[in-house]
Amino acid sequence: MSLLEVSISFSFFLGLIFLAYVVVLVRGFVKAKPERPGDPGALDWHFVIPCRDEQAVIGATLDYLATTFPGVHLWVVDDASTDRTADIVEERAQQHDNIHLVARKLPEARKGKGAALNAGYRDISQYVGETERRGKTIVVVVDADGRPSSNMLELCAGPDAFADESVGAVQVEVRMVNRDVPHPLPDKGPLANRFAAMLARMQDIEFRGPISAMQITRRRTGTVNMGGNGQLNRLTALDSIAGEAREPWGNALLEDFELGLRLMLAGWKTAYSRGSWVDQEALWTVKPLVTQRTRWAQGSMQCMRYLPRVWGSPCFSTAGFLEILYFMLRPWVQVVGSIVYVVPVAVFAFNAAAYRDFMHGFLLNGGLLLMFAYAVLGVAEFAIWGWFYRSRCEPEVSRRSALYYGLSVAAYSVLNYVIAWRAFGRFVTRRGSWKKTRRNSETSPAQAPAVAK
Amino acid sequence: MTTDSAASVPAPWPALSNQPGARRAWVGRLAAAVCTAIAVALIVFQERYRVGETWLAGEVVRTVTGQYTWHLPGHPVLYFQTSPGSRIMGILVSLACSSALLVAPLFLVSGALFLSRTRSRLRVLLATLVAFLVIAAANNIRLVLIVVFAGHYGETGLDWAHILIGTLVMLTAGGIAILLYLKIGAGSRKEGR
Repeated sequence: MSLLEVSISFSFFLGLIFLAYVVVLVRGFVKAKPERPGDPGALDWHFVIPCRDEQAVIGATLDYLATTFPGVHLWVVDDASTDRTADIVEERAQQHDNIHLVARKLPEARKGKGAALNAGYRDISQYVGETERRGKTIVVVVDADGRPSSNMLELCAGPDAFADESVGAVQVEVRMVNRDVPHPLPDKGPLANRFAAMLARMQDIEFRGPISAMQITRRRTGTVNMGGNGQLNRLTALDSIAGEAREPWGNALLEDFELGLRLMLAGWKTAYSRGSWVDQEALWTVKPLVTQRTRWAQGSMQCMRYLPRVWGSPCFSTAGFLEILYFMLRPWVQVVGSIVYVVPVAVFAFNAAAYRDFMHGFLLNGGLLLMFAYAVLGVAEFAIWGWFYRSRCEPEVSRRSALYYGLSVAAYSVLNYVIAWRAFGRFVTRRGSWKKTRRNSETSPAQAPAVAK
Repeated sequence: MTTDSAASVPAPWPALSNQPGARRAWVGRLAAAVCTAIAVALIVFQERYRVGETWLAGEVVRTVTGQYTWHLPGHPVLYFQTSPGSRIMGILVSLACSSALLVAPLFLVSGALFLSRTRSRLRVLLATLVAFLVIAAANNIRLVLIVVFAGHYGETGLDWAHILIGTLVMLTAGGIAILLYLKIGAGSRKEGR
């Protein structure tokens, strides 16, 4: 049993699994039905906005939320910011009764987003009290620069979401607000700007294409999971997993995914809304993007500890278990894949150089066609999201752009292998501390805030 | 559910000990052990498995096409000849050409599913068998095609059948097998819900 033989077999097996996964995702994506709206007045809405040094965006976010969703409560958890974040919130809190500042001070502060959200939860919990409205209270997590769509409450109050009393949490689609900014880096050249704009576009396609398709598929498997932005939770669902410490959010690096798992393990249904969304800022440079995604991948690795409970839980169907197994194993599989995919290619390249006659025969007798078929299939698995982006998300995108975007998605996906190895390295060396992802305005102070068309 | 404070809380799941699957946990453990043993055997005794694949392919070729076939005893090597007096050719079924490492992971996943008391064991069993049969049959068809093409078109036919046609057959069949595994094994809600 040689490394080459094992690599060929496993790369073929992993390729098949991924192909089948893409087929399942696409099928669910094209068949998805729009969610039915409900009466948002039947529920009480409390937005939680965790903040740390967000003076650049928090004021505009509060104004947007207060205007778009009049009557909702806005809770800003300031995690010991060193800038004017708390002052800005305090000013608005004095003008609006529904705006609240949850001020966290060191040394209790800055212990991660989960800890900040737990502080918000405790204050909301106390504010609502032990009343019958508790089951009708929805806690909405939004980032400091988040812009939920105006129909979010309507759709999340509908029968496909919180009107069903067994639904404990809903995640809405995530979009990139700066996806259409043509010159995001004014102090850089045209090439850097094109690359930055494309990177933002890739993130928009990623969230509205494959990630949305994953969530739609999870509606069927009963495993819709939560993201960090545009996450809505029923207060009683949070109560059910909060424990004596009153901490529904855990300490994993992927605290949102962990929350979703814990809610499902507690027996709550989770739902996904594609018809409503939250706009957030895409990153324009590779370095912070890789840092952010490495944190997600490492968080997914950390959540492996939940797998035995998911496996034995009556709350998960077989399909649900397999879906979660695939999601959790993905970073590990990418690490293995980066070896078993490379070995046959390296051997092939060596043979091509060392045995030219043999290689000539191989290529002429089907090898060339086979490689072409592999290349088409390997690229098409990713490139289809460029097509779906045009047909399902952004109809004004031209066919040529859709093709260009699709091919770029295939190239963008290679980044996953770098991310998986970084996460793997951090996981095995037990490095778990992370700085929050820096916003574009922090990495490039000269630029103006991005605005979508 | 772990809370009783709200009207919106769904009813608790029935205790595991009351579920039909829980009463026969040993069946699941036995099935899981068998699946794991099969997966391990497929890896440890992969050469014997390949010899079996080669033998089956030879028998199918002889029965269906009437070609002459011989096996090299104890080795995954198949010799064949289209007619008496024609050139004798042979193929070696390597591990990469075998379905052993494609089906072994399926048995491992099924073993884990059998251990869970909340899954439908019948569905998992059926899904495993169907996926195994589809992959094993497809690989056998691939080997048969290689022999038939080689018999008729010589080394060029062998290359085309081995490199392109066989790979496409396995790609299609493997994809179908995985989708069938998911459809059958995970097609409905779990037992006891």
